[in-house]
Amino acid sequence: MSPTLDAFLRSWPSDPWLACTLAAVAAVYLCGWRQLNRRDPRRWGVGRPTAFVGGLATIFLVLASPIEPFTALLLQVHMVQHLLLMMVAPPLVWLGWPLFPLVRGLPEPVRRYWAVPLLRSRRLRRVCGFLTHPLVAWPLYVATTWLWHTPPAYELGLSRWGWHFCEHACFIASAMLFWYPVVRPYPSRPRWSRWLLFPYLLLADVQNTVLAAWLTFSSDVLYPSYLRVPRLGGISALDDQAVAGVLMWVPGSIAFLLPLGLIGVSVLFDSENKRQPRSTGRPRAARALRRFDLSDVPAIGRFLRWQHARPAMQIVLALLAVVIICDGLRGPQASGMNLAGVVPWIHWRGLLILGLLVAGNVFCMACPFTLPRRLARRWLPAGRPWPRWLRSKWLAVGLVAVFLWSYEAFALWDSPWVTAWIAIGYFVAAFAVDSFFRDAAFCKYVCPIGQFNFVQSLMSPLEVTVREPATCATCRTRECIRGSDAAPGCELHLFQPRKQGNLDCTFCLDCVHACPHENVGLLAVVPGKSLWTDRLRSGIGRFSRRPDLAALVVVLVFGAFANAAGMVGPVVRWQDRLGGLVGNPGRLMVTTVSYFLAIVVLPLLAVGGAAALSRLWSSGSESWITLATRYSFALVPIGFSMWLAHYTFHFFTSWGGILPASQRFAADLGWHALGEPLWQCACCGSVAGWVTHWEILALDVGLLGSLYAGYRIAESQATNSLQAVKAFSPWAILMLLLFVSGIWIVFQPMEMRGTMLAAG
Amino acid sequence: MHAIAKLAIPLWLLAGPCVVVALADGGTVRAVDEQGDYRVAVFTSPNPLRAGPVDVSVLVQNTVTGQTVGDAHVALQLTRRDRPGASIYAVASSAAATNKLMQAALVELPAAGWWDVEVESTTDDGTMQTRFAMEALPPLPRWLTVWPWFTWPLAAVVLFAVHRGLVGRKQNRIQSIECVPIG
Repeated sequence: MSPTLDAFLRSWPSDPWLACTLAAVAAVYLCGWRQLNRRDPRRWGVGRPTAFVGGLATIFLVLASPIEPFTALLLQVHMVQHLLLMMVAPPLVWLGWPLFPLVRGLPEPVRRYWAVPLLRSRRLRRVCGFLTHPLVAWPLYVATTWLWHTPPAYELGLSRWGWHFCEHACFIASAMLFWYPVVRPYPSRPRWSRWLLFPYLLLADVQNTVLAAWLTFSSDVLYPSYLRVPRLGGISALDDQAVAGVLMWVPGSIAFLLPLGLIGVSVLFDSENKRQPRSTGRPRAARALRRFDLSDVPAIGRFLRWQHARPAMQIVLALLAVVIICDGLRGPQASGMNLAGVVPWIHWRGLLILGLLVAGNVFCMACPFTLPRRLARRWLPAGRPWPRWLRSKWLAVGLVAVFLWSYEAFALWDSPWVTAWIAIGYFVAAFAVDSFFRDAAFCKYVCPIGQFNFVQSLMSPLEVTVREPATCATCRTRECIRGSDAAPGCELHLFQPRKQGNLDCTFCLDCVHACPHENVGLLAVVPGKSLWTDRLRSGIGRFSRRPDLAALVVVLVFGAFANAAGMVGPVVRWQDRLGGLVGNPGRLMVTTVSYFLAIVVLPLLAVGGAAALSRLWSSGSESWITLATRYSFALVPIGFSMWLAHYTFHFFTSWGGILPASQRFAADLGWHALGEPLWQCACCGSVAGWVTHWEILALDVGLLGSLYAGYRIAESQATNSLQAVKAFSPWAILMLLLFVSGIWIVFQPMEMRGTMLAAG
Repeated sequence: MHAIAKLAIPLWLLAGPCVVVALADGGTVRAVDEQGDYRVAVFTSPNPLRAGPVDVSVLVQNTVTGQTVGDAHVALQLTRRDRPGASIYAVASSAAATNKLMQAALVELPAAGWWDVEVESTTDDGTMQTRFAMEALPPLPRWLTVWPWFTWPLAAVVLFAVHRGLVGRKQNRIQSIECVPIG
């Protein structure tokens, strides 16, 4: 093999986004095709997915194979790339009849709420019908081909990556339109005669031939870039151009004339019915698709259904907590060297938010603080009800605010000793509260971490909920709330048939174990869906009548931004200047004032202002407090995204810190098997570019989630679209401001407090 | 399979951060130098050249056989014209190149201005030196380099508005009522 060919075959560019995009499209298509194939195997034979996946594979080969790196060196390779993109991939994609499989393969809510109504739109169908009409598609295709082959446009594509991308996008879009009338993928019903395709394809071949001849017979090199690059294999730039022209001429003509012949045969012998076989016999009933249920997954499901699953997880975390407390109290007080400075503030927070993102409230499920309570209840009565006047979230709102303030004011991240005492305090408080009061009063009304998890788990993809509502309708024993011999009922008074969303759910799985019908599971839900519905929820009531819950949400949302802003240089310097202006009253006072402004005054002004404007602009009749309460829940996604960006930043950049801290802890105990600590590992290295991208992506998705939830709330309250838009606009502005401040924070250099150690 | 389809979208989103700086080797031809039986071509990317990460790719060819010389040792030295003492050294390799005909190195240019570049290519027949100068523009502000990352939600909002305009609110409401499970 020649070295050039060998190098060519090894030159695979990395494009994970393209690969994942194509894989995602293929997965959706195959999912939908499988359902259609079950119903009508004759119409939806294996040829369809073969063609479709073949089309996608061609796109991948064109853009992410050795072809791509060589396009700048050889025009003939570039020509092959364009031919595959315009003449092979589009017809293959259309031959897969992608419309029905792609729609069918989408997740149910996306299909029913987004795709199907869109496809029913007459205006959209008219636009698509217009664009795919031969008299429109042909000129578009030809104009695109000629335009991008003019020397200035081609040179632009060669010199700038952005223009090259634009060129490919134009090629593939125009080619998709061009080949649609030729393939006529099911269920298209064109109103024009198939005879029109003869001049359609013939004229396309003629213009292709003219362009190819221009390239082949030109005595000058048309694209000067190929004169500047070194020539490979002794091929001159002019010869290279001629070869490219021939490639365009011969295979290009075949691409037009072959379908022309096939269509001719089809028209002459009237094989229309054979081309699109009709459905035969009675279609088989589609199997009802079940929602994903984590408790059905083989190993995980068996573990979760195990009676002692929760205590087992709690024991593991309790042991870890004991280690952290011991090290925090007795170990070195440099946070980066101490397990109490590393594990809770870097790993636990990161894993907690990632757990909320990919599953649900997994920390409360394994919470070690409630383990002593569980044991103590064997001897202590715990018979008192939680005081009626405290049965709201107001106490929790105050505790969350105090926790956020104390984190900053007392630099909790930087003191293993204080961290250890916080953990001890948690154990004591949980034990004390739940020794006197029945049910899970500590979790529901007191625990700040629990409140954080409850609110953020509204964005989780899993929910403890009923599998079949019909089973609950006939149930009279209601073990899920009353309990059974196997397990207690829900201590947070969430009655499964009327429960919606994860709010106040600790994922303790008592209801899963108690239900004799095995009708409760950990089912997949649309993240954030419960934010815009205002149903009566068991144990919660209606969101619109819970200002305490709304206040909790607002404190956590603004707390997310305040907490992240507290570690960026400009904000720290602004605090210093603020202190200087008022005569340097001390760091504690400045932090207190800053936090009071950030999580009390600013939210009141922002949310109150948005509610007042919303009422004014929409001429609504509801009070601004009701509006503020209702719309505050729409801020959960943007707040969640800021927590996610912040906590995962620390986790991704400093996760290695646990190793030397563990080595040091083990060595202090006289156990040197883990080796000597290398403290360089504990330092935060340079931040990889993808971490910033990840943070921005999280904020993007959070913004869109908030905008969507807010619009759905407005839509549910307004009488028409215009009123909904007016009511929603102030909230959209608030969400946008939060997003912009989040992006600004992400761009600032982070002060890696509590994680930095001097190397050596 | 349905679960796979649901996983596909998050996977796609997660793939985004995996995309590193789009610096493919190749790019602008900076110098082509022929010495003896060898030709050395040097490319830089991105275009226009800016301070920050810069890809320098080198193609060494035998002019007699027309074949590339894949085992040549290529060393780079980049010197700021206004600070001759401080140079950046790098060794290019085919492992770092996407196009395996070339040998590439990712160099971090710390500042804008004119840079003198010296490429030393060593083959079995000896060593060649190729010199050229290039001007690096000041780096773009950080937000300009990542603007697509935080502006794409605007496209999503526009699509949503189009969807709303096309579909109509009434129809959507019916659909949403249909798809909300009771209980």
